[in-house]
Amino acid sequence: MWIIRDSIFIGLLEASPLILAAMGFTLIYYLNGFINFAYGENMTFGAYFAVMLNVGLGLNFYVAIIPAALLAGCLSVATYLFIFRPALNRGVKPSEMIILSVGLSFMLRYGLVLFVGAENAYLNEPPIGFYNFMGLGATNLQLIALILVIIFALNLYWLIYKTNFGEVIRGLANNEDLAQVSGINPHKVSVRVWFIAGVAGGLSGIFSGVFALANPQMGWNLILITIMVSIVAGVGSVRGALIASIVAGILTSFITLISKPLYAEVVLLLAFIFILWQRGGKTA
Amino acid sequence: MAYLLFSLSLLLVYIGLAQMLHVQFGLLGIPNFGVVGFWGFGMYFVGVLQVQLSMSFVDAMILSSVILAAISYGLGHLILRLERQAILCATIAFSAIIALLVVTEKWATMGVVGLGTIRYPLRVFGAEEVLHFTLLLVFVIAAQLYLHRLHGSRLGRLMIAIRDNEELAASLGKDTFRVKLHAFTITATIMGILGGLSAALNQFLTPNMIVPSITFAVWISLVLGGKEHALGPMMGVFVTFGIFDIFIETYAPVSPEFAVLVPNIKLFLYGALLVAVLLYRPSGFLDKDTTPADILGGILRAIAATLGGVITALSVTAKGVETLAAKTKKDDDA
Repeated sequence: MWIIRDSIFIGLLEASPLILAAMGFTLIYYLNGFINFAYGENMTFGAYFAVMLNVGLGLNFYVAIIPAALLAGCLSVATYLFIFRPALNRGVKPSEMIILSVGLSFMLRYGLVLFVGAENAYLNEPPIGFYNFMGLGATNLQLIALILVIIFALNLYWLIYKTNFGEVIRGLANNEDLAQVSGINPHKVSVRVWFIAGVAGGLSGIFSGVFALANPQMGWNLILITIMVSIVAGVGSVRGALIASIVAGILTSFITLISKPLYAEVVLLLAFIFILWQRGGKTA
Repeated sequence: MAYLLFSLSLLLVYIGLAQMLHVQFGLLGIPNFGVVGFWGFGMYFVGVLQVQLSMSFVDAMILSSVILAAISYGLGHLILRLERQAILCATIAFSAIIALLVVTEKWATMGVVGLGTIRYPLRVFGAEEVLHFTLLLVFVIAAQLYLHRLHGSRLGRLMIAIRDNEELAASLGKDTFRVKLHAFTITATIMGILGGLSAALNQFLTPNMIVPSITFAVWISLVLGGKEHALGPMMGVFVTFGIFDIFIETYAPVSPEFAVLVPNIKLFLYGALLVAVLLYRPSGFLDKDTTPADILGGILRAIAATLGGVITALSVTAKGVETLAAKTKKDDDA
C-alpha cells in the first residue's frame, strides 16, 4: 500500500509543472488546431526570464516569478503574431505547421544557447524548509508550486468553462466563420489566448527550474510528454488535460519507485502510441 | 584528408536518409519525425551484435535489418491509418524510446560509457575508409537512380495520389494502406541499414549520437532542397551539411573560441531557414516541375551573379585605391 500512497504524493508534487504546460498547450491546440513544438521554448524562456530577474537583477524569488511569467506570455504572443499567424493566413497545412513550429523551436533554443551558453543556470532560491506529512517529506518550494498551480488551474478552468470569454474561444475553435459573423474578433481572442498559454508555459518552466535547474534543452525534454498528455486527454479539453497530467505524474512516480525513472518514460511513450492507435488517431 | 573522407561519408549517409524521407513524406505524405530512431536502431544493433557477440558485419547487418523490418511493419500497422499529426507524434515517440533504451540497457550498449570498436565491413589493409566511402557512394547512387525511375512509374504516381487524396485513390480500387505499409517498412529498414553502415564509420558509439537534431537536419535538408523533387534530398544535404559541416568546419578560417559556437549557430540558422522556407517557398529550392536544365541554369546564374559581384567589388576597390593614391600624391606634392 505504501507504494500507492507514495506515488500519489510524489506524483502530485512532480506533476505541477506538467499540469500548467498541458493546460496551456491544449488552449493553443484547441484554438488553432496544430501542435506547437515551440511551446517547449516558451517554458525554457520562462525559466530563463526568472533566472535573469532573480540572479541578474537580484529580485526576490517570489517577486521575480510574476514579471517572468508575463514576459513568457509576451514571447508567446510574438511567436503568434510574427510566425504562426502569417503562416495560417498563407494556408499552411496542419502537418506543415508542426514542422514550422519545430523549426521555430530550434531557432529559439539555439538562439538562447548563443546568448547564455549551454551550461545549466540556477535560481537563487529562498531558504528551503522541509515539512512532514504522514512520514512523507515535501519542501516549502514544492508546496508553494503546488498551491500556485492549483490557483492558476482553477482560474483557467473557470475562465474556459464559466465565462463569456471561454464561450468565445470555444465558438471560434469550432466554427470561425460563424464566430466572426456573431461579432467576435478572432485576432483579439487569439492574441489573448496565446498570452494566457504563454504565461502558463512560463510558470511551468519556472517551476521545473525550481525543482532542478534551467537548461536550454529543458523545454524540448518537457514538450514531448506535454503533447502526449494533451492528446491523450482529448484535444480542446482543458479539463481532460488537467486530469491526464495528474495521472501521468502519479504513473511516472509509481514506475520510478518500482524500477528506473527512464523506464517510466519508455512505458509512457509506448502507452501513448497504443492510445493513438486505439483512438484511430482522432487528435483533433 | 582522412577527416574529409569521414565527412564526405557522413554526407552520403545524410543523403541516403533524406532520400528515404523523400519517399515517405515527399511521395506518400507520411511525416516520419523519428528518422533518428530507425537510423540509431540499425547503428546500435549492428554495433552490439558485432562487439558483444562478435558476429561478422554482414551477419549483424542482416539480423538487424530483419528485426527492424518486423518492428517497422508492426509500428506501421499501428500508426499508418492515423491522421498525419498523430503519425508525427507517434514516430517521435518511437525515436525517443530507442534513445532511452540505448541509455538504460547497459548490459548490451554499455550505456554512456560507449560501445566500440566496430570494424569496417570491407577489410583491406590501408584502404578501409576509401572502400567504405565507395560502398556508401554506390548505395546512394543506386537509391537515386531508383528514385528517378519511381517518379515516372505507376507506383510513383499511385504514391502521389495517396498523398494528395487517399480516399480517391482507395475508391479506384487501390489498396492504399498496403502500399503505405510496405513503402514505410522498406524505407525505414533502409534507414536502419544506413545506421549500420554509420556504425562502422563512427567505430565508437555513444548515446549522445541519437539526438533529435539528426532528424531535424534530415528534415531541413529535404524541405529546403524540395520535398517533391527526386533531386531535392541531395540538393538539400549539399546546401545544409555540405556548407556547414564540411566547408565551414573543415576549410573556413575560424578562430578556436568562435569554433565552439559554430554548431549552435548552425542549428539556429537551420531553424530560421526552415521557418523562412515554409513561409515563403513551401516547395523548397526545387519545385516538383524543375527540370535538370533549370537547375543548371540556376547554378550558372548563381555563378554569374557571384562573378559579377566580385568584379564590381574589385573595380570599386581599385577605383578607391586609385583616388586614394592620387589624393596621397597630391598631399605629398603639397
